[in-house]
Amino acid sequence: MGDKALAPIVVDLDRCWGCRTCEVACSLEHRLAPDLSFIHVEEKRESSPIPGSPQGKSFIPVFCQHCDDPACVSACPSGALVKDGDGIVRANPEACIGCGACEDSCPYGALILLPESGTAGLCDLCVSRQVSGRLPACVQHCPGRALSLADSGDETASAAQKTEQKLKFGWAVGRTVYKAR
Amino acid sequence: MDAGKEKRAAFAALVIRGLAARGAAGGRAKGPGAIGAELPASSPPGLAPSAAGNEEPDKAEVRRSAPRPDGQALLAAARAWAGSEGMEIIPSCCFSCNTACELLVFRRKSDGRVMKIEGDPSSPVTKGVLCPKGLAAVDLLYNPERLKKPLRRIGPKDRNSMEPVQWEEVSWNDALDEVADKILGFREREGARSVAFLEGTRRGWSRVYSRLANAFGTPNHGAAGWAQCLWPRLVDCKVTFGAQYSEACDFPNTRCVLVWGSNPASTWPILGADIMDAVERGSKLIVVDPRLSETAAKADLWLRLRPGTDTDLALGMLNVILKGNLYDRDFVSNWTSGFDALAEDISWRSPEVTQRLTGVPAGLVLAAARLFASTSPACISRCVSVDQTADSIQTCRALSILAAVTGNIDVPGGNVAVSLRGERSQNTHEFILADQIGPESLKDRAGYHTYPLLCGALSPVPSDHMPGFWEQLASGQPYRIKAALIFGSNAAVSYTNSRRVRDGIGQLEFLVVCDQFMTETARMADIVLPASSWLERDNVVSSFQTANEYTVFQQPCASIGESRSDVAIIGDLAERLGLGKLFWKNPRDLYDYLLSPTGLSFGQALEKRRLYAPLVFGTSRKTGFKTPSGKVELYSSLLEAEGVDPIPRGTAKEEAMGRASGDGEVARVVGGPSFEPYPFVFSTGARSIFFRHTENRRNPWLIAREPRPLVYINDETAAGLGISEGEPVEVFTSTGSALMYAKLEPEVAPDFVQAVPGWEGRGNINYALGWENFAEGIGTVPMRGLRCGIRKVSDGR
Ligand code: SF4
Ligand code: SF4
Ligand code: SF4
Repeated sequence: MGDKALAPIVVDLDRCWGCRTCEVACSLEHRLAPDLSFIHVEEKRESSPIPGSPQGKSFIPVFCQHCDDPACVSACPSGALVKDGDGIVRANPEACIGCGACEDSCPYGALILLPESGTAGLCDLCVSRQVSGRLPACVQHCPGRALSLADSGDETASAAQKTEQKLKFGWAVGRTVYKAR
Repeated sequence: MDAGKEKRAAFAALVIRGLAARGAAGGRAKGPGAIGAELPASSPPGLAPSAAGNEEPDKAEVRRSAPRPDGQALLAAARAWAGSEGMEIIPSCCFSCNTACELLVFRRKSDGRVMKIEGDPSSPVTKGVLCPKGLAAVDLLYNPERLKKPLRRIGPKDRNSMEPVQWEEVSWNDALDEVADKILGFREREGARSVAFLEGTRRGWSRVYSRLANAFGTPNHGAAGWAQCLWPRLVDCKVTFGAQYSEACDFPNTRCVLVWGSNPASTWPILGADIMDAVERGSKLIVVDPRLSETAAKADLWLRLRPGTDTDLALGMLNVILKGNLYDRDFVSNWTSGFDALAEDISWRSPEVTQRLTGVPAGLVLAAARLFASTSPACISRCVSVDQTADSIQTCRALSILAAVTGNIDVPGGNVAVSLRGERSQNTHEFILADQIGPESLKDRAGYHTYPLLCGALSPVPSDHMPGFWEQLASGQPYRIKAALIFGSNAAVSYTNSRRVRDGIGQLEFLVVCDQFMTETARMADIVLPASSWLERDNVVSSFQTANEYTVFQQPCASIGESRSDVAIIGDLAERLGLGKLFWKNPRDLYDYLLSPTGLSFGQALEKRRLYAPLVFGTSRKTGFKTPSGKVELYSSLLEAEGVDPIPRGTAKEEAMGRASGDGEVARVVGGPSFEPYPFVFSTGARSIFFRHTENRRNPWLIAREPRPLVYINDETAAGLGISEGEPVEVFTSTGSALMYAKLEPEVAPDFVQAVPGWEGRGNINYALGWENFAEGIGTVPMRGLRCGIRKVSDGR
C-alpha cells in the first residue's frame, strides 16, 4: 500500500446516540457472522454531565485505533500484522497462525479472532471502499452522523501531516479521533 | 464479560476522561502524563492522548471536518464499484419503517441476486445513512422462513392448538377462489358484517385495503394501531387546526426542540439526525421521557415524567407560560379561540402541583416551560406515546395548544403543515369509499355509539373499537362475526390483551392471513397468502409523515417464490368479489392513478427519483384555519359537538388536591388505588432500532443485537428483588403476564418498568395488558401508566 495516509475517522460523541448501526454496517460490509463486528458501541454513565452527554450517559464507538505504535503488531509472532505506510494496521490471514497473541495484547479490545477462519480480524477503515471513492460503511450509514472522515479534502497529506491535523480535533491514541463539545 | 468487552469498556472510560480533561482545562489539552497514566498497562509507548500540543482547539475547524463528500460523487463511486464487481444498482426506498429512507439495492447481473443494500448518499433527506433494519433487509428476501406459496390448512381444526399445523400448497387461483367463495357466502347468508377486514401498520397499500373493506360493505374494519397510533394526533390536528397533518417540525430553522414521548434516535433516525444538527447549531433540546432514552441523553433538559401523566405535564407547563405572560399575545388574540376558558381551567396547576402529578421536579417544569416559550421559533416533536395515554386526544390537544399559544404554528422553525407534492392522497374518506357503509350498517360497528372519533366521520379511517370487536368475536354478542381477513398484521401479538384476541380468533369459522412469514397469527389461519416484501414491489411513499418535502418511490428488485404485493392480491380478490372496476389489476395502474395530477406516470416518477415541494409558511394566517371558528380552537367546538370534552383537563383538580397530601405523589394510574400486588407503574413504550412492532425477529443481524424481549428496570429496585442484568423476569398484571429479560438502568424511576413490545411467545407483553379505562371519544387502550408486579424467574420456570 502507498504511503499516503487514509483519512482518520472522527467520532463526534455529541452526536453518537448508541444505535449500533455502525456495528451492523461493519458486520455486513466485512461479511462477518451476524453477531460480530470490528466496531463496538460502549455506554458510559456518570452522575454529572460528561463529554457527549449533558445528562451523564454517553455512547462511545470503540474500534481499532490504528495505533502509532501498535501492541498487536509487536505481539504477533508470525508477522501477520503490519503497520503500513498509509497508517493502517493490517492483518494478513495467510500468515496468521491463529495464536491469539494479538487479541490478548490489544489494550482496547479492538481486535478479534474470527471464529470461522481462526484468524485475526480488525477494522481496516474500509480501505477498499475508500480507494474506490466511497465512505467507510460505518461512516456512511451512521444515522446520528456522528462518524466522519477528517480533512477529507486534502488528498495529498502524508501520514505525518494527518497526525498533526488530528491534534486539532480532540483525543486520540492513534488514527481515530474522538471529539465532543 | 469477555476480556475484549472489558477492555473496550475501559477504553471508553478513557476516552471520556480524556475529553473531560480537555474540557476541564478550559478547552486546553492536558499533557499526556495526566491521562497517559490511566492508559492500560499493556499500552505501547506512544499511545498517548494526541492532544499533546496544548493548543486551543479551533472550534470552527472542528466543525468543518464533518461535511460529507458530495452525494452525487459518492453515488457515482458506488455505481462504478458495483459495475466493476458485476453488479447493478437499483435505487429504491426502505419500508421497514415509515421513515422511508432512500437506498441503493446492489444486484448481481449474472443471476439477479440481491447482494447488499446501502443508503443512497445522493438522497437529500438521508444523505446516505440507513438504520440496521434497512441495511440488513437483504434477509427479508432470502430468509429461509419466507412464505413462498399460498397454503391451505389441513389441521388441526383448533386454531389455538399447540400441535404442529399441517398445510398443503395451493395455487393462487385456488386460494383466492376459495377466499372469495367463502366470504361471499357469509355475506349472502349473514350479511357483510359477518366478515371482518383487519390490517397492520401503514404500508402504502393500507388504504387500498380499507377501500376493499368498505366496497365489500362490512362495518368491521380495524387495526392494532389507529386509536393507539396516529389517529389521536390526526383527530387533534383536525379539530384544533383544521388540517390533516400539521405537526411536522421545521428542524433546519428551529431554535428549540421539545421532544415529547418519542425517541427518534431509535425510531425515526432521520429526524433524530436533524435534531442533532439543530443542537449542533445551538438549538436547545428538551426531552420528555420516563427513560433516559438515546435522545434524552443529548437533552439540555430531561423531564422524567411518570408515564401516562403527559396531559398534566403539558398543562402545567402551559400554566407557567400563561401566568408568566410568556405566550404570543398577537397570535393568541388574532388566531385562537377559547383562550380564557382554558387559562381559567388550568390556573390551579402550579409547578408544585405539576410535580406531584407527574413526578417532574417543579424547578424543571418551570425551566422547561420558560425555555420553550422564550426561545423562538420552537417546535414540538411528538410521537406514538401521546396516542397511548388514557386521555389520548387530550394529551395531543394539550401539546398542540402549547405550540399554538407560543406562536409556533405555521412559522419557520415551528410546527408546520407538510407540503403537498401534487400526487393524489390515499388518506381521504373519498379514496377509501367510506360512504359505502350506510347509517344502518354503521350501528353494527363495535364502539360506534361510544367512540365517535374512531368509528365515525372525524376518524381518519372510520373503523371498529377493537377491544369491543374482539369481545364480540369471542362472545358472539350482539351478533356473530364469522370470517376475517388479516393482512400485514400479527394480530395475535400486536393487540393488547393477547389471550382474549386469541380466544376471539379461535371462534372464527374462516380466517385468511396475508403475510411474509408464518407468524403466530398466520399459524391460526385456514388460508395463508404469501405477501412480498417492500424490496419486491412498487410504491409511492407520499405520506404526510415521511419527509416534509419529498415523495419517494419503491421499485421491485427481486421476486421471491410466488409472493405478491398486497395491492395485486387485493385487486385479484376484488375482481372475484365483483368489485374489479373499483380496483387496479396491476399495482402500477394504482400508482399511475395516484400520480396522474402531477402529469407523471409511475415510470417517469421513478426516473426522477423524487417529487419535491418546499415547505410553505404562513398560509393559515392568510386564509384562516379550517376549523368552525376559522381559528386554532383551544376550546374545540367539534369535540363538544361529539360529546367529548372541549378542553384538555388531565387529572381533575379535586382528585389532584385531595390525594396530594402525605408524601404528595399522585400518579394518574390506571387500575385504581390498590398498589399491591402491583406496586410498579409500567408502560410498553420502549422501542428498539432493530425492530418495528412485531417485525424483524427472524433477521440474524438484528436479532443478534437484541436477542430477547427486554424490560427496563431501575438497578436498585432490581437488586432489591434479586434480579441481575439479563435475568428472566415475569411482568404480571391482573390480566396476564409476560416473560422478559431485565435491562437495568439507574435513571429509570425506582417504581417504573418499561417493556419492549412486539415479541411472540411468552415474551409478548400484550398478554399483560387488559382492556379498561379507554380514552374518551376515541377508545384508546392505555399503554402508559399501568400497574404491574415483577418477579425474578428462577431457572426451570
Ligand atoms: S451508528 Fe453512529 S450514532 Fe449509531 S452507535 Fe454507531 S457511531 Fe453512534
Ligand atoms: S487498537 Fe488494538 S488492534 Fe488496533 S492497532 Fe492498536 S493494538 Fe492493534
Ligand atoms: S429508519 Fe431504518 S427501517 Fe426506517 S426507513 Fe430508514 S432504514 Fe428503513
